[in-house]
Amino acid sequence: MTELFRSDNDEAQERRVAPRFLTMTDIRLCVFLVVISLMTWLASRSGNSGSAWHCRVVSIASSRTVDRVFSTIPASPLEVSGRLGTSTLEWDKMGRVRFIASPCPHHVCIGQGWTSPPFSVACVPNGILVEFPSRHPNDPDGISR
Amino acid sequence: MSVETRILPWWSIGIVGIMALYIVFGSQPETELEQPFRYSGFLMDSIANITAYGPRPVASAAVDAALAAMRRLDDAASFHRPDSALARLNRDRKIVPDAILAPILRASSEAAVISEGYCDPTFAVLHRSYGFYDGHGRLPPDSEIAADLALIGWSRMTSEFEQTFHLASGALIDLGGIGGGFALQMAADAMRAASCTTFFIDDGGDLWMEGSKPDKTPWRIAVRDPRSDERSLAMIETYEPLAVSTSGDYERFVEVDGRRYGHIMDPHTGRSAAWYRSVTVLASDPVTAEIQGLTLFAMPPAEGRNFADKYRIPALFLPASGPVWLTAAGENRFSEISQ
Repeated sequence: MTELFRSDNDEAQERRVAPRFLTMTDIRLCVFLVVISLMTWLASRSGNSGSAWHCRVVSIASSRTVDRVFSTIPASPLEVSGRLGTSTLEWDKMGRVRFIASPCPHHVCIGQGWTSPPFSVACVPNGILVEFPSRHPNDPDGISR
Repeated sequence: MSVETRILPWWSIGIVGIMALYIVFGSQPETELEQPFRYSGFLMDSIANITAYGPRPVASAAVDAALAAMRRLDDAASFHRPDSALARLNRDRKIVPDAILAPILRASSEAAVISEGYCDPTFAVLHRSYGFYDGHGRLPPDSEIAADLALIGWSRMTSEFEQTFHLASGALIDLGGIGGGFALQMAADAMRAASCTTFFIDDGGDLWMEGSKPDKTPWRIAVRDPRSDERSLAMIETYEPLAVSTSGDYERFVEVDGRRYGHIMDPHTGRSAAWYRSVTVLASDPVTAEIQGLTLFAMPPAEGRNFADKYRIPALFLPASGPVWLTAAGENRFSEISQ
C-alpha cells in the first residue's frame, strides 16, 4: 500500500495502535530501572544479612567481664582468662569452636566437642561463653538443653 | 528521521514498575521495630539469653527489668549464697518468707505431692552426700543414703498458717529446679510490666517465649541432642506462649571412678536417676515445665508414661538406651526427631 492509497481509516488505526507498544528505548529504560532497584536493594541488605561469620567470646575474671567479637576465624588457639584460671579455645577452618583446655573440675566444656553456629558452648564454672551472634533466617530462636 | 519499532504492549511498563517498587519497598530490611534487642551473658551460675522485640528503648529497659527480677530471685532462693533467704532457712531452721520465697515454698509443697515425691526440694541432703556442693564427687555408702532418705520429704517442712516455715533438723532444701521456673516467670512478668509484649527468655537452657514476632514466623526451638555436637534432637514450633524445659544428665554431674552420676536424684532410692539422657517438656508456664520435667526424668519409665498420660504432658524422652519416644500429647508438638 502506498502513501497515495492510504485511507483516513488506516491513519486513524495507526494512531490508535502505535502508542500501545514500547520502543527499544522504553525497554532499555525499564531494564535500567530494574537493575538500579536491585542494586539499591542488595546494598541495603548487605549490612543486615547476618550470614557473615562472627564469634563472640565473653569471659568473667576478677569480677570483670571481657566481651570480644571475632569477625575472622582465629588461626591459632586462644587463651581466655576466667574465674578459675585460663581456658583454651580452638577454631577449625569451618569456623567451629571447641574448648581444648580448662581448669574447671568436670571438663564438661571440653566434652562438648566442636560447636557450630547457631549453637553456643560455655564453661560455666570458669565463666566463659562462646557464641555465634550472626543470625540466619533458618536459625532457631533458642535451644533447650 | 527513523522511527523505532514498537515491540511490547504499553502495559508491560506497568508490570516492570510494580516489580521495581516491590523490590525496593516490599522487601525492606528489618526496621528497628523488627530487629530485636538481644542480651547474652552470665547471670548467677548460668547463662541467660534474652531477646526483646519493639522500640529499642522499650526492649532495652525490659531486658534490664528481667535481669533485675532474676537477680531478686537469686537473692531469695539461692542455695549457695550465704546471705539468701533460703540459706537462712537451711541455717536457722525457721523463716518468715518474703513475697518472692513464699510462693516458691508453696509451689514446692504442691509439687512434692503431685509428683509423688519425685520433685521434692528436700533431696539436697543427697547432693551433699554425692559431693555436688563441694565439687568432690563420691559415691556415698548405703548407710549414708539410708540416713539421707530419712531426711527427705516435704513433711520435714512445716508451717504455721503458711506464715512461718520450720525445717526439721538435718534436712536441707535446694530450690534449684523450681527456682529456675520462678526465675523465668518473674523475668517474663517484669518484661510485660515494662511494656514489652514479644520476647524470648533462655535461663540456662530453660525457655519461655511469648508474643508475635514482626515477621509473623513461629517461635522455633531446637532441643539439644546430648549424643551430637552439631544436630538437634528435635524441633518445636509455636505461635503461642510456651515454656520448654529439658532435664538431662550431661551438664551437671559428679564423676566417680570414671562413671558419671547426674544431678537429678530419685528421692525414693537415694540414687542418681539414670533412666534417660534427657527429657524435654512443654507447658503453658515455666514453673509447671520445670516440675514436670524433673518428675518425668526421675520416675521409672512405666510410672513416667502413666504420669505423662494422666496430666497430658507433651514430652520427648531420650532414654539411656533405646529409641527416642514421645508422650501422646507430644506427638504433634515435636518435629524433625533424630533417632
